[in-house]
Amino acid sequence: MKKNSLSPIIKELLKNGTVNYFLAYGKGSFWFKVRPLIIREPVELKNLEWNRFCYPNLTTYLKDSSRSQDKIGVVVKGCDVKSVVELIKGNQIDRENLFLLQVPCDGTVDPGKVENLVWISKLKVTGFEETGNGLEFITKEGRVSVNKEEVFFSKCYKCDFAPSPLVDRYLDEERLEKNQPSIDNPDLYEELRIIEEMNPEKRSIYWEKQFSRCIRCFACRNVCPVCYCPTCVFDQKDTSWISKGVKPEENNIFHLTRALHVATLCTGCGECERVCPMKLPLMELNLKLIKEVDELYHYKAGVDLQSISPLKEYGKDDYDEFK
Amino acid sequence: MKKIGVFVCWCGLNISRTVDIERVIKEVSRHPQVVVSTDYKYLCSEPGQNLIQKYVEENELGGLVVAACSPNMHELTFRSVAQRCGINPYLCEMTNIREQCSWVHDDREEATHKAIDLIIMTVEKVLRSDPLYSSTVPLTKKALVIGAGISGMESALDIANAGYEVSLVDKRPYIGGHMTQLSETFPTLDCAQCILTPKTAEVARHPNIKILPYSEVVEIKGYVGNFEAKIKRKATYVDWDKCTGCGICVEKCPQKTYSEFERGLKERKSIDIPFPQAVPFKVTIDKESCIYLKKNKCGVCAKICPAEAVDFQQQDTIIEEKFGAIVVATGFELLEGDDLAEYGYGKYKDILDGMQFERLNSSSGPTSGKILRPSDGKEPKELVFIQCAGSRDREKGVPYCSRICCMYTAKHARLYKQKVPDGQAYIFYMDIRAGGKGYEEFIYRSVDEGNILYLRGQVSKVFEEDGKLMVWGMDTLSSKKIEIAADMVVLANAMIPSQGSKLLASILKVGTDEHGFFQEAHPKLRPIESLTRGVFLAGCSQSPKDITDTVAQGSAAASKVMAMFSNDTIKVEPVVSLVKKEDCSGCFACEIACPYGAIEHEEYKGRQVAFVNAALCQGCGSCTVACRAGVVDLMGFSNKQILAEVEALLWK
Amino acid sequence: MEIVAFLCNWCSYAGADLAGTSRFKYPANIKVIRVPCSSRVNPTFILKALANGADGVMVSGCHPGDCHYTTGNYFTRRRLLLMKRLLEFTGVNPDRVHLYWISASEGTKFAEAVKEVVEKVGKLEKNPMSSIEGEIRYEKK
Repeated sequence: MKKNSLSPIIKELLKNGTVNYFLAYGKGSFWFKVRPLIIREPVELKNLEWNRFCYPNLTTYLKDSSRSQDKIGVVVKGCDVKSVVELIKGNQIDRENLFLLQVPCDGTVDPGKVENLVWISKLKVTGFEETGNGLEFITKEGRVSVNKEEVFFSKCYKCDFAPSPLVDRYLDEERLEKNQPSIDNPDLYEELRIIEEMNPEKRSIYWEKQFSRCIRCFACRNVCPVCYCPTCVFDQKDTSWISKGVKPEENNIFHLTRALHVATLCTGCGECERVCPMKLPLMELNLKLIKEVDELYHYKAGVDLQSISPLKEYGKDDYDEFK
Repeated sequence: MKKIGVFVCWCGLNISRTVDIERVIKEVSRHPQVVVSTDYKYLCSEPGQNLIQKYVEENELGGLVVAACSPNMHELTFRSVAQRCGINPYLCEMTNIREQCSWVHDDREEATHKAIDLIIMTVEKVLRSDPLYSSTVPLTKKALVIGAGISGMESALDIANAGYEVSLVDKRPYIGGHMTQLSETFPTLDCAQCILTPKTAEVARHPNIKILPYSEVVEIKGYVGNFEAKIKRKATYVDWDKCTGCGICVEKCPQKTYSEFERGLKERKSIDIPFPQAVPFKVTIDKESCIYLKKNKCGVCAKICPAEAVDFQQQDTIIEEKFGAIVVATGFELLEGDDLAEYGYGKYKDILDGMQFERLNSSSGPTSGKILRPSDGKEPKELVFIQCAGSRDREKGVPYCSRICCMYTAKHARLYKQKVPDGQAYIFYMDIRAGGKGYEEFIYRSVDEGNILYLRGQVSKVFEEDGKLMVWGMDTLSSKKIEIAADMVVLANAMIPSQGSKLLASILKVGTDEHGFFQEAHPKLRPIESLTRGVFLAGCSQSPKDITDTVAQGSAAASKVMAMFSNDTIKVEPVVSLVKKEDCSGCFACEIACPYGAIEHEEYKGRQVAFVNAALCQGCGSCTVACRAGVVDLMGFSNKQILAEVEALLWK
Repeated sequence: MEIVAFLCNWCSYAGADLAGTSRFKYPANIKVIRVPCSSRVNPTFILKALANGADGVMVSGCHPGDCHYTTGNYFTRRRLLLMKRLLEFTGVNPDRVHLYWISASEGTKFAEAVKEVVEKVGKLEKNPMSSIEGEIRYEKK
């Protein structure tokens, strides 16, 4: 991965006034962490980072951008472009004021999975190196090799990236073409099967347990690029969609409603699940609806600007199981 | 919080028989906001209404709950009581404890519990109700009548005579509709043309009526009182201002084509006036068959026209106009095609439909009024009429009765007997439906004339054999198989909605029934109104009917329009959606969900946000669910009201 | 057992009224909330009802193609179908939520539908979404 080639481009774009500032990844407090970085002056480029841990979806910071006149540049991965598509379709981004710089990405690493695999304690690993098919983590005890799909986010090894005409500039077009899912014919919905195959009672207990752990911190909602309502339905003062106090029996209202609210908009970026402090399997809900929408209405979010969400449309001859 | 009064109606024994009203009022009074909880035998009666008024005044009530019959019955009644008491009508809600409680449950205990729960739900709703106010919008006092048949013309004349302007549109190049094709009319055997032509002439010269023949409505925007219509005037390729109708071009035109007016019994020229009494009396070029328009050759008409009226460059034009009300009078057509295959319709030349037989009878028709076989020009001596061809057929065709076939078949048989006295007429019928003034008598005269043989039963097959049409049928009265070697067969094809009705319905945003006829607002009490305010229905566009009923409905639609136009403004229902613009994300999911185009854009703090045009909004609330943030809310059925009703379930 | 029914005003509510005028009997478990159109029914209303003590929810609108507002029930059909699939996925028995198409002339169908819903919901275990055991909201004054 080349952060060195990223820097001069951003510098140039700032200098020639194409953008007022740039949204990119900066060095984090640990080697396995990054943080969002806003670059207004070339000097700030010294903190620029681009590595296997650039998994956050920066487009969530664009949610309010239509209200400012600034021209914003943003570093995006292939999957992030899908969120941009939905933000444009939802009139949340002024395309004219946006510059999309896409970096080639063939997968980001889930620190949680690394932890499960190699880290006994995070501090013992001091870094990693890329090998042909995988990664090699350097620990004091020696090197540990892992395959990519063992440590990648599942959305990464199933990545169905296709170059988007929306992007203003690709960092490395040659590399871009080579972007392929790590595994052939990935089962996009494999996570769902375990739950779908459970008997209803077990499923009910499983979700009851999950929902009961929710502390309603709303991190899942706040990080979600397509949760762009200025005042969320759950923050309304005068309408009691859910009780304001933490009533565990109403947690499911929150999560199911949220899943339905992002249905046909959710691109599967997985940020909600990643930021959840209680590690609720939120993507399972979203993925379920992605699957149903795909099967029922042959629609996928984030693919193009023209297609209309099936929840905003109707078909006279739709599937009808009702009497 | 408002003080709520709950009034429980006995409806005589209707409610009190099943619901323990004493217990209901006691339980309901436990609700902290309910300060009055009382009952009366008949709340809708004058003393009942006065009772409500008395309690409102004594207790300074802020909201009313009337637990009685269905709101569809008396919501208006009690809301006007509220208004009289100085309470906003929308702070009065009904709880339906009759149709949906006492009448459908037997167990007194259960029904009483249910009534209590339902009342509490309504109390919770009213506590969150806001006062709503109807607004008014100005009104364009000009009507659009779509379809210039007898029904549309009648409507247009009535409205025009009341002093309002009317635009009368028809897709054909002439006005008068199907009636122009008829020979005589039942039950009087009046000459159709003799009674129609004075009407067409009156319409054409009426100063308040603008006729737009050869035109179609292509777009309707707006709402009651303020519809914006786009009407396409199809190119006739003749400048009608110049055309004198001399007919020289028709004479010289070398190209013949199918005549819709004669239903194929005669050909017509590519440039033509459909019939001698056509209004307007102008020629039209059929672009499908005209040699010049297809191949850029010929052009004889242009060369010969003394008025230089032919204009091959003419284009379709779009007229944009505003109207306050719309009358749909698009009429009918006859069922054709595979549904009638067993009768050989469309296969054999001498099997005609009722309308073709009308043309044969017409003195200006293809045979100058003589009954002659299309195949060989001979007079048919054995003539079989088949009623219900496609009608009342659940398997093929349509399940409904087309209503006029019994009558016109009897008429046809009598006209035939007048013209071919030695001929034999047979009528296959399922049963005779002659429910109109003078109709039954007409049928009996037909039966009594002799040589018209009524056969009760259906025809199973018609086929050609040795130059005859073999009709196989069944006489169910004698249980005998019937076989007739006929010279001609006339079918009473089912009436179906005219082509393009579905499209027009979607343009007008009005519903159609399962058969494609325009849907009336109520089958009994609102047969003239569509479900879209300001759009009225007349004639066969709504259902099959005879000329008498068609004319009556045309007049009725006109009177609805006139009642509307007698006011200067239109009242707009306040049950509409409203956007809290500071919370609107501007995603416009609501806009797509709205079937009425009522969601508009407005600028708020540098952003585009949604705005509901209250005059367009019909209050369905689809937008409220499309809006994830609940920022678009429906007044009168708001999120907090419905959630409160749901939460009231907790009340035990 | 509590069933909440959201009925559209023009078809299904009128159909329920017709069941009444025709005196077709059905179980009293059903509590009707009148809405203008089935498309007014927010899926969250249904979740709220289930969490607030309802054992089942019934939604009913005009037949597809016959919506008083032309297209409302087409939206309902999609919204509720997805919602039902999601509910089932989270272990809520699909028999808890029902969607019917009942016209103003189908009083019999309405009565039969209520019977069917009550019967199906009656067969289910306790509603997993509801943990409310009949809380007393209003004390006697």
